[in-house]
Amino acid sequence: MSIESNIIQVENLTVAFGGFKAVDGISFEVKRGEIFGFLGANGAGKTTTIRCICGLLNPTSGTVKVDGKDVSSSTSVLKPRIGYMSQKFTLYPDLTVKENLAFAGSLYGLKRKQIKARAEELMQFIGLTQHLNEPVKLLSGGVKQVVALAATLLHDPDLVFLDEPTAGTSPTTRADFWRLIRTLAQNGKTVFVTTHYMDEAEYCGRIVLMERGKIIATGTPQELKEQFFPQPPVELVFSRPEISRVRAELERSNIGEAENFSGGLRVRVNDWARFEAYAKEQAGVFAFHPVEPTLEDVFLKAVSGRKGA
Amino acid sequence: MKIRRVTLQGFFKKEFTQIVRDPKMLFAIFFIPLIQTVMFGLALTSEVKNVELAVLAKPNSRVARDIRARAQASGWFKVLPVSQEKDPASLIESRRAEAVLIAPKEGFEKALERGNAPIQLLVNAINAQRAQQVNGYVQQIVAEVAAERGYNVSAGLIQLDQRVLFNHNLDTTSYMIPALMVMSTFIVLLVVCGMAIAKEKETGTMEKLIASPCTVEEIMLGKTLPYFVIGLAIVGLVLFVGVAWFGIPFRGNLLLVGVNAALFALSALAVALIISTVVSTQQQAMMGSMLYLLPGILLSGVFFPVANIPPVFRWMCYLNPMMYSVVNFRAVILKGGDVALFWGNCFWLAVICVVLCALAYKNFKSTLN
Repeated sequence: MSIESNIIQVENLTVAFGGFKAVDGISFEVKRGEIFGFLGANGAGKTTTIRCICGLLNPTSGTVKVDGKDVSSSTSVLKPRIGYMSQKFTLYPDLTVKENLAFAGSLYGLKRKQIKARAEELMQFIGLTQHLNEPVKLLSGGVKQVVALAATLLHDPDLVFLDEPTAGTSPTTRADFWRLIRTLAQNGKTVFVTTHYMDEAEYCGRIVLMERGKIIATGTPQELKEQFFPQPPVELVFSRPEISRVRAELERSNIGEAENFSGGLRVRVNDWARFEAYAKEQAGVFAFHPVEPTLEDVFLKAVSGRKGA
Repeated sequence: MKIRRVTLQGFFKKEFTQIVRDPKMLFAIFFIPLIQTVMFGLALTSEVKNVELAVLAKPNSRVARDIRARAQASGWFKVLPVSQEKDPASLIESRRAEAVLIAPKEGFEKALERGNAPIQLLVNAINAQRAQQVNGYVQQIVAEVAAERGYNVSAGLIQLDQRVLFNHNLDTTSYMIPALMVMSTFIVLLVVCGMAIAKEKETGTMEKLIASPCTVEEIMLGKTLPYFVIGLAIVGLVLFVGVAWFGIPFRGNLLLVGVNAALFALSALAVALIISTVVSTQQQAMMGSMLYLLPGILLSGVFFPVANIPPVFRWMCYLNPMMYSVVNFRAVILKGGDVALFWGNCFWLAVICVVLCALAYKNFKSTLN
């Protein structure tokens, strides 16, 4: 096994369905043991990329290597090391949690005893021992997702793909789920996670932003914030009737993009000097103060930057 | 080709658990064959039974008495306790009798002696086919009675020599049940197995199977072998109901029944696999199965003898795995088996089965990749 630090190496990956390029010449690498976030709106090409790395889809062009081995030629070696929790619901609703885990284990050639020991260990890890004999269809959405995670981890893969694991679950479940993801990474697993919740991306070691099949930004959350916000975004607070006028003026003169938030505007400033001048002119009307940029700001700025270009 | 025992065991356990938990599946698997067997065994019989028959003759006629006794004993007729009636036709008009046999003025005995018996039979012919059958039965009974009493009537009106082999009573149940063993099993396997695969695709669980180190062969066998076992169970069930309830004769050998059942069950599953490769939802799988089943059943000899099908379509019968297995079951169960015919059919069945399985394997493999 190679000792290089990159577990996944993607070069110039393109996947076309007919004339439509779902993934368009992307390159990135994932380091061993990190939480790697793959961000983008629905249809950005996240799932397609994962399917290529898991060997479920052959790329139209480009290479995908896991541990230095080309995926398309060594699927049988790589599959037992990969855990893939797809975006679709992959448990059998009519079977109990235990039966689902038993079947998942048999797919990986695990013996009954191994499955039993591992299932108990996992249920403790995810804290759901009381649900073991319940049919999956009776579980709540969040619990189902956690059970699906357990089924994905049953064969102890060292590379785990989670495709939108928290979509449609409650904030509490999301927080619990991310606690599990962090524990996995602490135990030495590489976790590759996609999401379109930008707040979740803060937990990732490194992230890639995708838009319409292309990568529009890569880096740690901090790097991305610094890269896109040399000057922080600004929150303006002022008397209501002014909001839409100010917003329109800011955007028309390309000083910055703005969004309404409770009682004011949040502005991603493009041109700091002009913004200050403009703001001072309106000084009687409002107060403004800089705030920490979020990844949501980064994403919106990255997308609008591409539109302008 | 890698096939792991634990993986197949996992599939068996999972498929059976899912079937047991799903009342609709259980219904489809066990009640459909049972209902069909009972329906075709009891209700949809083309055999004529319980025909009300009046035999009009002089009270002391021995032949008339014999005819009545024999008619009653045959099970075809219910003989009415009437021996004289001025207007025999009124018996039919008033629906008291469906058939009336009338002795000539000089009596049955004289008429039969002359060898040319002008015996009159009135039959309610609203259902022409039924009337024809009734006519046949009556002639047969009269001929039998005449022969028994030593009359020579071969030249006369009564010229009956119907000989029916292997189904002495022209019993449609005995004829239908071996065919139903094939038809019911084929329908259930095609629908249930096809839906089971389509369900994995529809809900997304197929993705998990593909992402696992399972080989194509393991997925294919894992999704079909449990249904193979179910198919054999259905064959056994229908045969059991046929013998235990309807009393059809079982003259054959269970091993031959098993060989034939295994071959056509495999063909059915191969067809289900092929259909499943071109559909993506359970509904489409259902439609696909129906599309195959309708011509498949009509061209199988279950209802219409293959020999009666015009040559333009008859070649399709020879491509139909159901056709061979229907012929084989009828031969094995009712006749005890004609070795050359049986193995000849098995050979062609096996050829079709191998071709279907190869096609299913190729299609399944390419759609999974």
